[in-house]
Amino acid sequence: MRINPLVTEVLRGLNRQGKAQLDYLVLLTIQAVVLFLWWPKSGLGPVLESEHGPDTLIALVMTVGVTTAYHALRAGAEEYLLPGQHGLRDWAFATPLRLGRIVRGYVLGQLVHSVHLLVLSSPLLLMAFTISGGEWQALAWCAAATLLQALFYRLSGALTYLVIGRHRSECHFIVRTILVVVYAVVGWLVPFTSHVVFTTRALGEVASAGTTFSGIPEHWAFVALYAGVSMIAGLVIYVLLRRGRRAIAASRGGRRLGEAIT
Amino acid sequence: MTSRDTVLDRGYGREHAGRLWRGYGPLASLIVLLALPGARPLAMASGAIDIAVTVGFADTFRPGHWTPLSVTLTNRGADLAGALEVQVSGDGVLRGRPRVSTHRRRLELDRAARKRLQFVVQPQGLSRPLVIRVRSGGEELARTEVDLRSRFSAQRLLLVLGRDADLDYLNDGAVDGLRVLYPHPELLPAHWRGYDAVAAIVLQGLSLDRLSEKQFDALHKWLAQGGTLAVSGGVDYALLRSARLAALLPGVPQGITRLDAGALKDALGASLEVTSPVPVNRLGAFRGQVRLRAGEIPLIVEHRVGRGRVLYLTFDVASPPFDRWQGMRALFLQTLQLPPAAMASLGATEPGPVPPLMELIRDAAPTYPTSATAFLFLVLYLGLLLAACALAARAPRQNWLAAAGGWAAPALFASAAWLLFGPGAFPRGASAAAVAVIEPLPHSGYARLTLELGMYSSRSRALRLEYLGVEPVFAPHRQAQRDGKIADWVFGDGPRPYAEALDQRRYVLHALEGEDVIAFRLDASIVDEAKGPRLDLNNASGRGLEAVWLVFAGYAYEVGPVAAGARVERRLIAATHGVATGSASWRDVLRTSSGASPHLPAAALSMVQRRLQETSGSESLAPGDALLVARTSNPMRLAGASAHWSQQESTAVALRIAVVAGDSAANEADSARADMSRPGGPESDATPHATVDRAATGSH
Repeated sequence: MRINPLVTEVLRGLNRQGKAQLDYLVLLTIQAVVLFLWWPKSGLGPVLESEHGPDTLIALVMTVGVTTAYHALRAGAEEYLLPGQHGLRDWAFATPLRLGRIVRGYVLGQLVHSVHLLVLSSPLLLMAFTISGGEWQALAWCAAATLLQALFYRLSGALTYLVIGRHRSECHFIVRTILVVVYAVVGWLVPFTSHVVFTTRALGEVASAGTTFSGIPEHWAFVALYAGVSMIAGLVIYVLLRRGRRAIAASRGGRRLGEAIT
Repeated sequence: MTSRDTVLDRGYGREHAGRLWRGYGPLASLIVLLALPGARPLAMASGAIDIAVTVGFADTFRPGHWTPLSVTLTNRGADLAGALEVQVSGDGVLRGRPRVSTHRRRLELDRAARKRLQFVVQPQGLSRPLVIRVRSGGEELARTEVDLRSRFSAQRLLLVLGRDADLDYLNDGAVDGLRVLYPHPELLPAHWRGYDAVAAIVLQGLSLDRLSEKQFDALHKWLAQGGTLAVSGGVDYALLRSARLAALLPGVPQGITRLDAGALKDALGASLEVTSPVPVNRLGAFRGQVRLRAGEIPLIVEHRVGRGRVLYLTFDVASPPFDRWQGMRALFLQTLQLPPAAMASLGATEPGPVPPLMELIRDAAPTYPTSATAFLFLVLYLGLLLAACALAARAPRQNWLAAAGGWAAPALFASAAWLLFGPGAFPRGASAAAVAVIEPLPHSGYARLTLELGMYSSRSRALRLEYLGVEPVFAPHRQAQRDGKIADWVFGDGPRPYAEALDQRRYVLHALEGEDVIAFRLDASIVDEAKGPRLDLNNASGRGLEAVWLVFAGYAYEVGPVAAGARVERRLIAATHGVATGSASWRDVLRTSSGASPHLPAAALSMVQRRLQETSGSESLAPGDALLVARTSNPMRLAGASAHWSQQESTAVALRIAVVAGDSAANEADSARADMSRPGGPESDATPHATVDRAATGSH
């Protein structure tokens, strides 16, 4: 089985030093600050008296969720790239790779990147997990939710870049607006779409498996929703790239893409 | 049925029904066939198991007190393997929801078999019925509800176990009065706490041989921790010579002697209508004190068993002339000397200091790693990542530096985080904490065990604590009751009893208070001499005692460890061995004193202090009293699935001793020797050991 070149590029990029790593180091510092602030200051006695365990893990997972989403959104909008990584336009318009393979590689590469970010956060997550209680299963659900959410934001960023990428300041503004709107407004209006709500329910005092209006367990609904929306976003990206390729091919008199690459 | 018959009576109806049957008949048959296996539990539920319930003694109980509950099951169906549950709902309406305690026991009942199972329960109120269920495979096979409103008595209970005794004259409807009941001996409780509402037991014309081993043990334990048993003699005195009664009675009857009417009137009063000699039991040597005698013949002899009393009436209370005598009620009440009625055993209304259980958890439970540790760890991790980034940036061709920073460092620190903050420093999963006080009951071989038990978990799960070694009755912790944090519990019986909290939230302390009477013999006497106390301590408890301290007359003396089976005699000199307690509490001195022995655990000392407060109304010792405190191991052991739980425990032995003055001790010893030389004279009760009898606590 051939490894997708986009995934290979991500794997190589993760093992090189660049701006992306430094950017995420800043976000990791934010996570560390949150962890420290939420670290239990009292002993076990007061915790048992209040019948309320430390919220350290919940706070940290929420932070990991939002920082990963922000990072993915910026990566999608190509505000930064991994060392040696090419942008989506480059792959689509300058290589003869099939678009389906490009989009698949793009999605897989993003998932690999997100997994790496989770690995970087794992010492912090384990610190919080040991003292906060909670189940491995719930933590795994939260990690899956974080990955899927990051994928959605990556594709949203990519869409934004494909549509208005040539105007950097507008793109810069829009990706942050997307984050605020989807994270805060939509999350508040439709709670089961919110990673914050998801984390609270999964890691809360009583592990509650709420259901949505359609009777589906909320954690499945969350995962299905983000997977579905990401799929749609991927399709739209595919369509946009195909139109772009056709436009370029038409402008070049029907020559196939990639022939120009030397 | 009626509507169907009406339809079928019509011609077109028959035709229509035939079409229906041809269309849906096979399907209906299939549904019926498929439903047949599921119909069995329904059939059983509709009457295959009969449940008969007796609450308390002779179907009478006292609210707020532990009481026996007998459930008799008759199986008219197939063989059954399941569980019998008794659900007791407490008062909690004002707090929104009553707490529910479920007592569960495994049940195996063959076809056409009958079985009786006994529980000890504590009905808190009358408004909610007891629910008795038979369950198997998650299904309820039979159920009955017991209305408590018609079965209660507000008075203390006096049980009469007799062939033909009628003591109804002792009935008294006052709040502090008595209610006389005549239970069947076979229905007596198998746990001593079942006698909680019983003020006294009168035994007449029966031996105790009809009781099971557990029933007799329960009766003995109840006596040891403060019960009163009055045994009536009679012409059939052979009953009193049975092994069980002989072990309890002050003495064994040797025969019958006839007491003339005059002597009897002199002893009991002229109102006694007696003209002819009356047969009374003749005693040989006996232990105890004569409470009433007619000439040289003892009529009532008292013998102390632990903190309880056994009264031997050498005459038959159910025979003439005593059965008709008006003065018998006064004589009984005077003889029984019943203490004022006590409130429910585990009160929950008064506010108190920090519960010993919480004190133990604060002191001994593993706590979170400090913020400084967390900070240092985070700084190291981020610093390493930053360093890897910086080095990789300076040497772009050294890709391994970035790879190490990106993959190896997180893996290394993740492992370190798990080890540093995880199982080593802060164990995940369930934990149990227990604070216990053992109060030896003098000259009984028993001790009262009072314990606070807590369990908690850092994970959301149902906690089931399995244990061995003791058989306590549990009630929700008073602090939880006071705070309204009342959870539902299941208490399982059997070879490995358990207590299961149904609240599955993590970081919630599920706390119980338990009481039991255990086998434990520790005898001590103290003689107050000029320079200090002289202690004689005999540890026959089978357990080693560590950090033994004696508190007496403003001083605390360190005695050191006393091994199991050891006897220690110490002359303690206040000036040399004593640590002056001054105005401070003895508890603070014992907790902080830097003696050679390990310190006494603070939580257990708090519990000793509380027991003193509960039983004598004061945390300090009365003049002439001494307190022996020691550390030992908890007789309650975690077992089964709970054996690997993280555990904190703190157990103390507390014995309050009435000190004998040096001179009077010698005098009393001489006096005792003189009494012993006389036939029928008092035996052990007059020896210096007898002065030990005022142990740390009273009966409740």
